[in-house]
Amino acid sequence: MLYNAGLRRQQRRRNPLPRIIFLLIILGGIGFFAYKWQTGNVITVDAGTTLFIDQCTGFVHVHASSSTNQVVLQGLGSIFVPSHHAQDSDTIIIDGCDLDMTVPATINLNINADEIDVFGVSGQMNLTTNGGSIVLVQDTLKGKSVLDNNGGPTIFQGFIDQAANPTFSSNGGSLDISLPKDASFHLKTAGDIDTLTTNFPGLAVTDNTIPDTNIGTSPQATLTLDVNGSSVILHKE
Amino acid sequence: MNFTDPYANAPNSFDIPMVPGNPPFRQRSNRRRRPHLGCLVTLVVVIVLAYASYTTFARNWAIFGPTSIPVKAHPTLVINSQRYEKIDLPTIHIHAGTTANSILLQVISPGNVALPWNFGIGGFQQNSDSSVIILDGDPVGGRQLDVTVPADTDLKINTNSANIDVTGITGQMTLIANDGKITLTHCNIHGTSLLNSNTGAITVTQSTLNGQVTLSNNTGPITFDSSIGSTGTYDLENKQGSIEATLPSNASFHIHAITNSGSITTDYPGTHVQNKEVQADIGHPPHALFSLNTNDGAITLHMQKGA
Repeated sequence: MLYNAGLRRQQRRRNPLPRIIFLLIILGGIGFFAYKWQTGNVITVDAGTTLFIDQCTGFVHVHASSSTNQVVLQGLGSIFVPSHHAQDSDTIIIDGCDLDMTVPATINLNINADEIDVFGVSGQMNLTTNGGSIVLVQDTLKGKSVLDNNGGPTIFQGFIDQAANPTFSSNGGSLDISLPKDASFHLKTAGDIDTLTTNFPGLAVTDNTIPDTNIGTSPQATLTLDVNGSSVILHKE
Repeated sequence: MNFTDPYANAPNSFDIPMVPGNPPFRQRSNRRRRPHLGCLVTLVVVIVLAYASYTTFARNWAIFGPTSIPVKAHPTLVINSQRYEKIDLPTIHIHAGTTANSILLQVISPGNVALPWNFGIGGFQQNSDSSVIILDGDPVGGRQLDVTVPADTDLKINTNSANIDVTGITGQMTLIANDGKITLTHCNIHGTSLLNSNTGAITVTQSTLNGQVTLSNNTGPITFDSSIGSTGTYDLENKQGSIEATLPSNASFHIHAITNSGSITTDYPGTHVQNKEVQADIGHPPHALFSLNTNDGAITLHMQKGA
């Protein structure tokens, strides 16, 4: 009988409740992270906000969403990325990197990162990389936008607002700019161009630069190419 | 020797006398079975969670190869490859597939073995209608990133040291390499296009150029053995390297070849070198503008044999 009593004690020790609780805690944690992963880290913004990301040694991918007041940082790594309002301004500062985010379709961006992609956003954009790529697809540049790749490639397929004065800056890198066939702008060039490839009529390199040229009828936007031995492609869609 | 279990019909383990010399075989057996069952359940749960996580969240990860990306017809593929390697340069090989609505990524080892993962290939980005795909492609150690695309695809490839190898594609192309070679075969370049390298060779063979196309190099050679449209502007520029251009006999173009301190050689009928410069109208109008320009490098112009 002594053996039977010991066996019962052994079975009591195998009470499954702690294991079940532990398992539930684990599953709850997984569920929490899965939920946050799907919903993302949501930041509420006002109209006219500027999104500011600085000194990011990684990528920033920005997609426009249908929301007008939410910036959503997606992915598990973005769950605890902090953000805060700058004092006395409409600027949201995000202290993070390697970010996949959705933003309102109209928002201003001020981003310094290794690699920047922006899809479908309209606004003033100050985007800077140090030799990394800047890719803008279906975006509209407004105001005094500046895209500076410092030796990397910049690819732009989008629109320039009629009142905008954007600058594409490239220190030895490449600028691949595609604009609608009815685009109207005043083209200015600063610095030396390495090669110019274009199907805009009337544009040619003279003494390593392009003379100021008006493209289209009643041009209002001013497009500035700030280059230093850069390859430039100016493509009319 | 036959063994007979005297307690085979016992209703439960407590009916077995627990005395020395009569070990509780069944009880021990039960103790072993439970952990096995637990392991099995845990394994099933882990597999289910992993599968659910992959299908729910990680569908867009390109780390498992091959990766297929649905795209709109005539997409634009952007590949950025920033990695710098001195030896065993990787290659980005782009070629036409049979489908018009998907792009397939696959990493291939130096031994030409297709790998089941895409190490070095980051995730991809795409716009809302999947007409533009952006891929971070940094194959390592001499590996090849093999990309199968629709035959009509615009390419924007930028590499640091990776070679760019394009076969059978029709579309606009911006191909920029620093150290890597750029090789085009059986391609049809449309629109405003640029092939630019710093030190790597640029080779275009059995292809057709239409529109405004620039081939530009710093020190690497440019070899062009293809045809050009009867209109458009085609610039081949090289600072220190050579240019060797071969055109069909039926081409119509205005040639302007000039070098600063290099040399010019031509055996194309109707062309003559004068003061390190060639100017001539070849064929019937309209004439495409075919421009060859070097600083130090040699310029050679040939007519295709048998063309």
